[in-house]
Amino acid sequence: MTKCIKNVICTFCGTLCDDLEVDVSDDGKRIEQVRNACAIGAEKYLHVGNPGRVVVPRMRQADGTYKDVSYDEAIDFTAKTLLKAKKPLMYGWSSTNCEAIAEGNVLAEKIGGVVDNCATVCHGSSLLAIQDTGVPSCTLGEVKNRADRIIFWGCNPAHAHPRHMSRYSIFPRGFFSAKGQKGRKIICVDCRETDTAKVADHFVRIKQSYDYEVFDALRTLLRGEEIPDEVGGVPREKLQELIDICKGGRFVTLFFGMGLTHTLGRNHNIDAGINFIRDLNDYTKATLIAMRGHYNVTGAGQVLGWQYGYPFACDLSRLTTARHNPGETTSVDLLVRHEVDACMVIASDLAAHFPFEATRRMAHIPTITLDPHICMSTELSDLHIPVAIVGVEVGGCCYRMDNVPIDTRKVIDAPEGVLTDEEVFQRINKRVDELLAEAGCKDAAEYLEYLEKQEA
Amino acid sequence: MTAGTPSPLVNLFEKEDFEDWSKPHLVGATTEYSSLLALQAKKEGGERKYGNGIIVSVVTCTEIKQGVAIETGKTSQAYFDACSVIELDDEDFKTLGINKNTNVRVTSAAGTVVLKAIGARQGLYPGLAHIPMGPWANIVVPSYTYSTGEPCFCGFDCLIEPAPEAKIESAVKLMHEKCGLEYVGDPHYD
Repeated sequence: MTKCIKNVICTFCGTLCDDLEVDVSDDGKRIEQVRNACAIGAEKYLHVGNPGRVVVPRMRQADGTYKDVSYDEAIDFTAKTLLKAKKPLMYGWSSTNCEAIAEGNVLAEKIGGVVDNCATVCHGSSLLAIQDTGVPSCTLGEVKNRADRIIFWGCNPAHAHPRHMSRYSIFPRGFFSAKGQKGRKIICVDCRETDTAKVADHFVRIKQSYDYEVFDALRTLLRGEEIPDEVGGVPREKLQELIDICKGGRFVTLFFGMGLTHTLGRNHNIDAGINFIRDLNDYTKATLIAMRGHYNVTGAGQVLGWQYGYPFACDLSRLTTARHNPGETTSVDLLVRHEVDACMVIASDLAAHFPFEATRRMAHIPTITLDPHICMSTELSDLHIPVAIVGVEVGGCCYRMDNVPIDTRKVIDAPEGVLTDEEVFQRINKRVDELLAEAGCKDAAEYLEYLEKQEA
Repeated sequence: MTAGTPSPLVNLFEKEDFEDWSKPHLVGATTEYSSLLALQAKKEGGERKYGNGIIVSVVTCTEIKQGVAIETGKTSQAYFDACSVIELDDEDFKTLGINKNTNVRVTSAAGTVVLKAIGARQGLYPGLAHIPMGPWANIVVPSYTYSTGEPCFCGFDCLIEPAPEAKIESAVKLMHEKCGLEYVGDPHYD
């Protein structure tokens, strides 16, 4: 007899769907069936029971093979490695809960590390633009209940956020949007005719990297000024049509994704987008929301934001002040310029999603990876600490892409002996305190001096 | 140049920039490499033709197949199938003179990797190619961030050359080889 757990929160993408139904076995150890999830969400829950799960930490030997070690040894190694490093990088945080992130930041503060989350390679530029310009935003609930004009710009929810369209943006019937899809006009702007473009009413294909120009042209048209016959591969008439559609709506929402932040212009593209939405507010109600990828990348930014004032790339290596300087304290730049001497990857896969130049550096400095599964980062690190999966084996607070905090649930028990991210950080913190006390040092800087004296 | 032999450009990056990991990479190389390619293309007189290859602008994006495969496992066959490909427009297949599902060598300012060229799953236009995000794509993604922290994941120029004989490496082996680490395999997935 299986037990059905309702309203489970799916911890895969930033949409954080909260209506999953998961059948678990009587002993609460196995997931039998998942309903209401997308292909990716279902796979996330169903593959948990696959054979080959790592349940004890693995340390890489000199010959390249791995040896199983105990959690105590792993935590001792981590504490010593981080204390020995002058400027360790602690990257990731997007696939764990806010509690673990807060505990990790305590550690970063102690050892003088650089804390950076996945926003650095996805919506970091959006955050820069939001700091510069502000953000006329709303929640996904408002989109569902009010929006009648949806623009997808440089994002592809059909693939990256599979249930976004059915839960919030295109199909659902809401309080003021009772007609559902029939009452909405969907516009998709992209350089590829994506599967999202195929369900849109209007697809505007722009030339790759011409987003800024097109935004500018739209703003110019909105103010009733003249533009050239063609901008970024789009004819003037088409742009005018877009403006007319937007002006004719009661509530416009612009969703934007990596197509804007990864391409030429970066934060300036988002700047232009925000200003376009601001201008549109002269005629109707208009908002925009960033399509955040990992389920808690927003939360990682929130926690860093309320603790240090910066949403990503926060350098705590001075031990007394937090610094944030994109291009200098961002992970890719730090790795490429060889400015960090140890690396800790938490709940993300640096090696699979960073340019190779950065990965290569990571592979040649002491690296510790906290991840429930085997991934590229674990295969290139010196130590892999397996942890429980948030949203499946442990609950915790996560932030949806519209900055709404949602408490995720535990569905099954973690394999015996496997710690959670939060517990691992608590134990590392404790070990760091012990090491500092043993050496009679008050902070990491003193500990470095102590180590130098020891060597001399 | 015959099909399968890499262009001199590939050798340049393999030898001088790529193998010596101890030297920080020249971060400004992206734009210089693009203009170099453009210049070469003009010299050859053909549109985007260079040697027996073509020059395309590459974007790397997520895909549902890749997303599912990430959850299945990054050492799985599903991940390999989803990510070790490059999507090209039909026109570009004609210009390259190859059939679909042929291996090609992709070279950018950052490095070079062998991928399988497949037809576009989501509409492209001639001169635009797509590689799903993953270790294979990242070999050719330039690390220059324009002081924002974000590397050039979208819109970097690549040279695509037919390489039907070349082999596509598995993710872990590729990373180990390119990082200069010895690949010893692992009981967890071998």
